[in-house]
Amino acid sequence: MKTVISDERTQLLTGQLAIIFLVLTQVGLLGAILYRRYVLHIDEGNYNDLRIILAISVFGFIAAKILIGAHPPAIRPKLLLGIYIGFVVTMTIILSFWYGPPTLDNWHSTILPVLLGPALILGGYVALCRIAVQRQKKYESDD
Amino acid sequence: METDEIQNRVREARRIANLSQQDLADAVGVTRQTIGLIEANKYNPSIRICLKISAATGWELSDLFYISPEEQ
Repeated sequence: MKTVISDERTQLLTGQLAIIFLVLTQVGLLGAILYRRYVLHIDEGNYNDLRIILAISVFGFIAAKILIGAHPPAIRPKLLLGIYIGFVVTMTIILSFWYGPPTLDNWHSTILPVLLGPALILGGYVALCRIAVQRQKKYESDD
Repeated sequence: METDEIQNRVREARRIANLSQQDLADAVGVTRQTIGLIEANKYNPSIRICLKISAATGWELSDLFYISPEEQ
């Protein structure tokens, strides 16, 4: 009989290790980006590729976890609204400290990203949760 | 506080069935290391593996795996 070299335990272990090293890689990428920005003062355009890779990795992982996970997060509209407002207020305060208060003449690069960014993130989160719940419905029964 | 601990008698069943860890691993379709970890209660196998161990040893599932409450 053929000797098995990989089974559910080793596959589970591989999955756990993959997640650990994924997170370490993401933290490393973030460190590399922050180092270039704040220590080396390199222009953002020179490391945009790192930012895109990190964004795809982080958001892709979260999206996959929500879609494929067996327990999609509960959606409470009031909590979502609170998180959105919190995002907007926090980003406005931080960006105002860095770049000064936003002005209406360049609203598309100051006010719009602050309003639209969190809306897109939270909207994407809500959409993924709805899709995940719909996927699970076919396994539910009332008997 | 009571917690439940999953226990097993896989080692006992394997020895009575006159199987080595490798024999049981081959019959079940896992590595020998996995059988060792199951016997040492370091790994909880899926129901699929549990049923295969039951079939390979001839023991009932409820005799092989059980929950014993532990006092904390």
